[in-house]
Order: sequence, then structure tokens, then C-alpha cells
Amino acid sequence: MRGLSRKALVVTGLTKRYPGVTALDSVSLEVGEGEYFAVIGPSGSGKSTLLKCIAGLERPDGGSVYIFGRRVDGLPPEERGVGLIFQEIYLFPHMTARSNVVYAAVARGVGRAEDVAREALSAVGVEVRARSLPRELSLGEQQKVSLARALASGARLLLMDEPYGSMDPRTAAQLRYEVRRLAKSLGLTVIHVTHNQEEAMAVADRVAVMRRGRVEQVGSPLELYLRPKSLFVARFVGGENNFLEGEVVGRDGPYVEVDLGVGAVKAFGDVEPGRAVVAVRPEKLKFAESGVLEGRVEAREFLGKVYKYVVRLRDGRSVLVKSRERVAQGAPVKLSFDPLDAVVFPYPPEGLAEALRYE
Amino acid sequence: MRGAKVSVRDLRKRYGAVKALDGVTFDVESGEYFVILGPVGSGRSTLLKCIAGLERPDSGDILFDGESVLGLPPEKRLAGYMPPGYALFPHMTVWENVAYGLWIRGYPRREVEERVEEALKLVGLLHRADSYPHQLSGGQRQRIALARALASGARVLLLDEPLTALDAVLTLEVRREVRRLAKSLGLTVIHVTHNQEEAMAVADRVAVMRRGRVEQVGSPEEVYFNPLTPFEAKFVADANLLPGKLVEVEGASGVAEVEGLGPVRVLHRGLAAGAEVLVAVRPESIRVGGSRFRGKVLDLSHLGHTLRLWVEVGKLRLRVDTEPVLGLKPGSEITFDLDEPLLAFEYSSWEGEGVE
Repeated sequence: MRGLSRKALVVTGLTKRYPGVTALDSVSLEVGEGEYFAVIGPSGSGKSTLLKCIAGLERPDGGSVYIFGRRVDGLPPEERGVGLIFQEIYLFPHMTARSNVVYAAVARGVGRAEDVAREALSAVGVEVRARSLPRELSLGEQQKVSLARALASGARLLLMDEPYGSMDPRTAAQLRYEVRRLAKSLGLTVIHVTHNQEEAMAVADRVAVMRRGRVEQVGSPLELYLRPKSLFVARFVGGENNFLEGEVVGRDGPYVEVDLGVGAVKAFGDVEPGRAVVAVRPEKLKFAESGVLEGRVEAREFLGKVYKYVVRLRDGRSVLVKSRERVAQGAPVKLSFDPLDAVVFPYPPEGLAEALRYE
Repeated sequence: MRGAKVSVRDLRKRYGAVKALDGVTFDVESGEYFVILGPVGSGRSTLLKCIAGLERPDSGDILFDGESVLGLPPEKRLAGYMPPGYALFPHMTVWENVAYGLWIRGYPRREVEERVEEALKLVGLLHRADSYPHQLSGGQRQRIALARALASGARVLLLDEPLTALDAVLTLEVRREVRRLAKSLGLTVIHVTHNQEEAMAVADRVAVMRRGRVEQVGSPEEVYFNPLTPFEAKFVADANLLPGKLVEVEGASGVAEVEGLGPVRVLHRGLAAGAEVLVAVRPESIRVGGSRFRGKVLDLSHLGHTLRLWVEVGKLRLRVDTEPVLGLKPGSEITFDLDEPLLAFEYSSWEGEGVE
């Protein structure tokens, strides 16, 4: 398998069935060395099962895993050369932070285990807490120690499952950037599994969106945000979204014309004439002098950076709008958007609600 | 039903050397949705537990509709307390979860049945009465916890980080739903959170807490646009706090010389020319694409509808929020303008952990 050697991780056709459920349905992925790669999806989408199969904690029913070009199927976790970071932080409670890390270096069989441990603790920035016991450390510090332990074990591929899940959100939001910078400065490859799309979008180079055991889309955060390939991705990623049903009636370059019932709009996409859904984000809808979408401001929320509006359209539908402009409740408004900022999808055969459902 | 007016008077509570509450005073009107916004350790949960009757303050008073409730046990206060994660019993059905509090207080069977049915109807989940919590979605579990508080006859809802267990999209739906329900029932709500956006979105008024004290009470817009302290500017709006010197003063406005940026127009509260100041610059008040200032992108991060940039300008590092656009990457040179006037605070009013 030449050509795989430059990849930190290659997963081909990974399948895992539990009684009554297909947790992984032929998943294939490639992650480059040094890449920060996130896997997101609602609970039950298979993301944690995927990570466990990569780590060797679960045995897949089919497919293969290659780590730095080496096929690891059948190898136990400790022989895969990966570092594992979970929401529950498993440090030896009776050992200091340093001893926990030294232990990992010794277990790996390196000489100068003390030096390796010191370097690892200093890399994650908890050197000054090296003599503390786990219970004397904050959750953020404990997670850094477990990171240092993974480094000391010689892992070049970090597998993280909801690593900030037990922390208060402010701590988590800081730590996620620190961990990304650390991984980048050390050239580590990271696979980060989370249900929190914001966390993933904030730190990942690329993100895989999973649903029902399959990968729906892989792309950079911006690609997923601007060019979702499915309605589900359009809903799950990037915060709230508006979905407007209509009818594709024509084509104009990279755009299609969609009749929304209240008038025609242009939007980005390659969809055959027929029933369709236009996804346009609340922050891409602008209050304008003229626009096909006319309605009244029904509700306003102040969010800080922007106001969020519920606008009731003339035909009874409502849309969300985010804008820095302050508009009075009850005011009549017109909304427009740049066709590049709206994406068209064919109307899903299973129905719109089902296509968007993720619980 | 009518929510109680809640008055908190000079509330104090110590744990050893730590002043969890250091003289807290405010009023929450009947039917008001009141949010307490503060970081972990600011005393917000202690405050909520004191109101619920789960903690005893060392001094001060708590009044519901003008009557002190300090002498009343939690179950007599008619305050429904929802802890983080809502603490539903996993082995009990929805019905049993809602009825539990009434059973243990020895309510007659008929009364229990009527109240539980009424509460489940109000939250729209009577048809799920026989389900178990794990069979419900996060949003539905939230509503069950609300129903439990309602069944106990609560006139004040006390919510401690009610949305942390939910994921992003659901959070947005549930917070709107909780507010709608409370408003339609006329309940008074006191909702504790660390999340600035959540606070702004649901609150009639917000109290910002820090170190056991209330720094400001005001409408979401007042607190966001017109903070009284640099801590608030940073905590509520994530403002950059830039050291500088006030060089011109004319009434409440003036000009500050910001180290690394130069002169900017500011508003201040009674400072004199020559004062050392911190100028608060909210990330979204830095307008990328302007022409006045120049900087280099160090790193960037996608935060939903905004793109967060860390921009280096001389020795300064600025947090900047802009629309998601293609083509920006670490190393990109950008130009920007500032929305002026900016707020200037007396430098010594910052007791925080270092200024950028």
C-alpha cells in the first residue's frame, strides 16, 4: 500500500454492527500527518464507535485501519502508537502529575524517562504543577496531564473523544485553542470526536460530519458552513439555518431560479427542475429596500454581537434573521440575500423534517 | 398564577475564608425573566441556593412579595429549583418524576394526580407520562424538570445552568421555549448562566456577578453596550482591553492615546486628562477592510456565523470578529477601522488577571 505512508490515518470500509443497529456503515477516511481532524455528529451517529475502532478498543466487523502506513487491524490499543484522551480523565490518583507521565515513558521503554516526562509536562504548560496529585488539579490541568502522558508515551496520533465534555464551557473554550496550538507546534495528528459542532469548527483543519453510521461530508469548517452537501449538514453545522421550500424553475450560470411561492429567488446549486429546498443562514438575510421575502418582525432577541429576529413572511412562513441593525417589533421588512450565500437542495424523498432530524 | 416578586437584601455568605456572597442586593419583579451572569466561582449558584432555601445565608434577607422567606424550608417557599442537568430519576417514569415531590410531602392522591396532569399538560408532554427519561430528547427532559417545578406549585423558577446538557441547536430551541412558557404562565424566573449569549437572548434584565458581588443590573443592551467595569466589558462582550492614556477630555467624551494604535475617540465616566485608562474594544467593533490600521492574522477560528481572528498589530494582539469569508489565513495582512467612540475605564479599576 504505497502512498499511504504520508497519511497519519487511513480508514477503509470500516463497518461495525451491534444487534439491531449498524453503528458504522462502511466508513472511509484519510487524515494527513499533522492535521487537526474533527469528527462530529449527533449522539448515536457512530463517531465514538469509529474512534474506538481506530484505537483498537472495539473490533470492527469489516474494513481496515492504517496508522502511519501500518495496518493495525487485530493489534491491541497499546501497540497502535496512539494517545487516547477521553472525557473521563483516568490518571492514577495516588501518583503525582509527574509520576503519571514518567510512568507512560517507562512503559514505552525509553531511556531518560524523567527527561521525556519533563519535556512533555512543559510542552502542555503544567510543569509547575508536576508535584501535585490529580485531585489537587483543575479539570483543565488534569486533561493537560493526560495529554502530557500521551506525548510521553511517544504517540504521534492523538485520539480524543469529547475531551472537554466535563469542563465548564469557558475553560473548554480556552483549552481547545491551547491544545490545537500544542498539536500544531509539535506536528501531532489529532482526531477529535465531539457532539459540539462549534468546538470542532473552531479548531479543526477539516471536519467529518457523521450521521447514522455514515460520513455525510468531509471538508474545512468554511466549506461545511458555506457549501453543505446535504440538508442535514446545513442544519447541524454553523448554527441555525432557514429552510425554504420552493420549486426550481430555471437555471442561470452557477445558480438556479427557485419559485418560493411569494416570488422567485436565485440560489447556488445544481438541482433539476422540481420541488426543492433553499437553505439560507439567518446572518445572510439582509434587511433591504426591496426583496422577494416580505414580512413583519414578530420577535427580537438581543444576542450581543447581533440581534436575532423572527420575521413572519406574508405567506405565513417564518424565517430567522441575524443583523446588527436594530429594527422595531412589528415593523414591516423586506429581506434579500446574495445568491452565493444560499444553497439549493432537491426536496428530500423522506420529507424535510426527517431529512433534518438528528435526535 | 402570578409569579412572586423576589427581593434580595444585602445577602452575605462565607465558606471559611471565601466570601461567596459579599452583600448582594436586587429586586426581581413579578413575572420577570431575570438572568444572573457570572463566571464559575462568582457566587451565582450559592445565591440561587439561598433563594431556594438549600443554603442559609450568614446575613441579609430574602423576600417573596415583601415577606421574608428565610425562616421557611425549601418546600414551603413555592420556588422550583432546577439544578444543572435537572436531576431526573432514571428509574422512574415521567409521571413519577413529576409526582415525586408531592408524594414525599404527603399530598393526597387526588391532589397529586390533578397537579401532575396539569403540569404535564402545560409543558405539552402528558402523552409521554409513561416514558422513562432516557426515552426522551434533551429538550423533553428539560420540560419534565420544568413540569416538576410547576407541579410543586412554584411561583418562582430558579434555573441553574439549565441548558448545559443540551447541544447547540437544541439549546436555541429550548431556551426560547422555557422563556415562552414562563411568560405565558406569569412565573418569575431567576436563571443562572455563564453564557453571555444565552443571558442576552432570554433576559428581561441581567445581573452581572463577580466575586460575590453584583457589578451591574440592566437590560441586556445596557450591560453589553454600556458596562460599568472593564471586567464586565471583557466577560460580557469579550472586549479587548488596551492600555492607554486619556489625552483630551470634553465632558464625558475625549481622546485616548492607545499604546500601539494611536489616538481613538472614547467615552468615559468623569476621568481627567492624563488618566491611565483601559480602552475596551469589542471584537465586532473592529471593522476588517477599513483603511486606518494594519495588522497580521496570527490564527483564525470559525465560530458559527462569525470568523474569530487573532490579529497582531505591533505588540498588541487583538481578538477580531468578522463575517466568514474565503481567503483569510494565518499570515494574511489585513486593514481595519474601529467603531468609535470606545469605552475608556480607569486603569486601576481592573483587578483582573493581566491585561492583553
